[in-house]
Amino acid sequence: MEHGPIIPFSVHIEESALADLRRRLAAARWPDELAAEPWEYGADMKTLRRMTDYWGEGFDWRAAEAGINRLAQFKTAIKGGFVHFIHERGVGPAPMPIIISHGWPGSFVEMLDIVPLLADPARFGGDARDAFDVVVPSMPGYGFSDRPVAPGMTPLAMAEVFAVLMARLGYAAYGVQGGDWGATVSTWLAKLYPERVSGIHLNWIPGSLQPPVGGADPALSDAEAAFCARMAEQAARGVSTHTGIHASRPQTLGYGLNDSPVGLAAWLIDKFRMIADCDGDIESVIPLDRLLTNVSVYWFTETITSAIRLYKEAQGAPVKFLSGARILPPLGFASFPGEVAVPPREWVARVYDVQRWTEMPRGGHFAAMEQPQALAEDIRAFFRPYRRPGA
Amino acid sequence: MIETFKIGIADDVLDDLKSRLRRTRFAADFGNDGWDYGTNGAYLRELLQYWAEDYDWRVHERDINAFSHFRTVIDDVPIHFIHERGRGPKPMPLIMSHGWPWTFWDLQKVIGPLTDPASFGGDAADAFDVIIPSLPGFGFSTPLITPGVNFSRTADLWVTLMQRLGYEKFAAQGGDFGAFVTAQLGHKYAGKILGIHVHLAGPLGMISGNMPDASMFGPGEESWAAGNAAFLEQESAYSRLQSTKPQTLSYGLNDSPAGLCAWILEKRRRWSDCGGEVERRFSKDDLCTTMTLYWVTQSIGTSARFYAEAKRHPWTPSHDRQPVVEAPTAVLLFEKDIVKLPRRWAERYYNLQRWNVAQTGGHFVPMEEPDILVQDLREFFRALR
Repeated sequence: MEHGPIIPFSVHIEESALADLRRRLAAARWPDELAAEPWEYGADMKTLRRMTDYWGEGFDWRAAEAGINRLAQFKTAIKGGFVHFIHERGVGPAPMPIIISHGWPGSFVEMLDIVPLLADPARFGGDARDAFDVVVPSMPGYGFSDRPVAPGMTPLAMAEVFAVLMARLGYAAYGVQGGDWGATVSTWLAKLYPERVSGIHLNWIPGSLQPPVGGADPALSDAEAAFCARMAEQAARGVSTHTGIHASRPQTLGYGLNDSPVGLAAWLIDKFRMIADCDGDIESVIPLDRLLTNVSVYWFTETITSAIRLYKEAQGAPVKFLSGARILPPLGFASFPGEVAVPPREWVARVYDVQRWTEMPRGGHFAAMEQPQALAEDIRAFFRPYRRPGA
Repeated sequence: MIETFKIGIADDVLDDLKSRLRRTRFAADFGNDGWDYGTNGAYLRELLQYWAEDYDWRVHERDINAFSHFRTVIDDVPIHFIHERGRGPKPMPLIMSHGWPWTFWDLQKVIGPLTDPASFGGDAADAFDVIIPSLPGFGFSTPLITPGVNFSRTADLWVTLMQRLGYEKFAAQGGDFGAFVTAQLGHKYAGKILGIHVHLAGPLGMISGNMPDASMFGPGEESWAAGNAAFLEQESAYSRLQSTKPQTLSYGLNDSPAGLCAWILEKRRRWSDCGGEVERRFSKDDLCTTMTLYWVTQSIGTSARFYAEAKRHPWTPSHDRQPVVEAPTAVLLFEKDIVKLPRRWAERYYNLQRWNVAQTGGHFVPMEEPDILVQDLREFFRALR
């Protein structure tokens, strides 16, 4: 399992797929325009049409592809499926290995800006001693990793896959980082392999985290009780309606999104806009080209269905911890003000060893895309004490 | 103004549908024989193949056009409806309201027996004048570009429609969302309503509010509370989505007939009394006709929006008298339906005159069990003529 060929990889989408996408975009059958406030009933048609018109007529996929391919990428087969990953060696005296896990509706594309910042800090005004060997896999079922062919690919199973990947790359000790689903995968890596994981840095605490409360553990603090009440209220209000479908009948939704690029773009971009720190203007924090690069990866790889099925699979491995269960590696948390729901520190400390908690000045759910520089600086600062000389 | 209407879908619309079906970029499925992840890929593929290559819309269009169709505009809302006169000494006017994901055509099997009972083994004295509108934003009651049209507004529109047709007093029937339209008629317009018949019972504020307490469920109803809870837990994500962001969903479903078909098919199978074999209750032609009606009228988005309008514009009572629904009421429930409320609750909420529970049949009553429905309608309204 630890052994297996690592094959260099670069992205190249066939011309016929590009032509098919352009044809479908041009032939999109738009619903009637509604006399209502923009975004009131979901993705606003004028905005969406402008974006998808640009996708078909202005967006340069080949340039985006070249940008992706400037980063060294590989594939390797683990547990029956190929895993795609970026692997950029650090430029510095003793780079520390780190594996960064992405989430939904993102992909490895979320990390395009932060990889160089972490691998070669000196080039961006930082200190070469902070360099990382950066590994960014596409989660199984996402991007250029294979789609699972059987149920059971939970975030926990993904953590096992990524542990094999890091071992195969020769890394005995490494840091882990993530947001969204990547935070859950990172949490499982730290839980399952504390002897390998030197530290865990998150910019999101898994929303489904169930730490032990009461009994031998403290009762809820006022702040925790307020947080739990807010979560329950949001669930009742249907704030996370996308995820409700993902977690119950993802396949039903997937057929339309895999067949209609405007449907796919609406589904993904609506979510980006909802949870980025953007005051309703997603392009003010993430350039349209980058958003469309991400949507294009979902489109060309036909992974929207396998990606959203993760929400259902995840029910097979709840992030639930009994009294006494601890995640041993030290935690650094970057708390972004526009994040959907940041729990109180004491909630997190019930399970994690919170060593660093940074209130970030701005940014939302897509920290690596919205605030790559700030996130990179927090990652560097957190891991500094945990670097192992010569590791 | 009321205009006669004939359905005639242009060839290029049907050709485009066919070519889209043939070019479907099919999402891979696996480990989903029991449809737990949603619509099963193998069956969907089979149905899409049939829809593209074997299904003949023109045959069904002819059947649909065998009835008398009309269109009118009320308060800027386009309304399509079937209007069939009864054959009997004194037909009773009956407006029938369908649900989601239904169309007016889900009532096809009951039109004949209700308008012309003598030709279907019944008594001409039981004849109805039948009015079957498409709900606003559904079928040929499109395009609906005005926001705010919820089931309460729909009840107002129905009263105006019936007035235009010359019916000052009338009976009303409905299931699914149509049951809410119908109950609202019995609440707000009890003086005009001869009686209402619903096969889904629920408080008018149910979509924006609470369900009756579990302690209300009586003998024979013990499993219902758990069934309702299971439905809300496992099957209601579509409703939460359509209540909040129908527009986000609509782009894909209005652009991809495969996506549309998958979305509706799952409900047809899960909500009907079919034991997991959807074709026990709906033939491939039935399914394809429903899909085609949604596709050619581009109504999936506005039909989904009906949920959002119910949520955004919560029901407000027109009076605080009890029972809430003063019109004489018959409730006919089906053991295999998705949500069932208890009789004790119904006795307080409606002016309940009749209560029956059928052992076979699920959510799509007029298609699944038209005979049971027709029989119950005749018996209930006989006393109110």
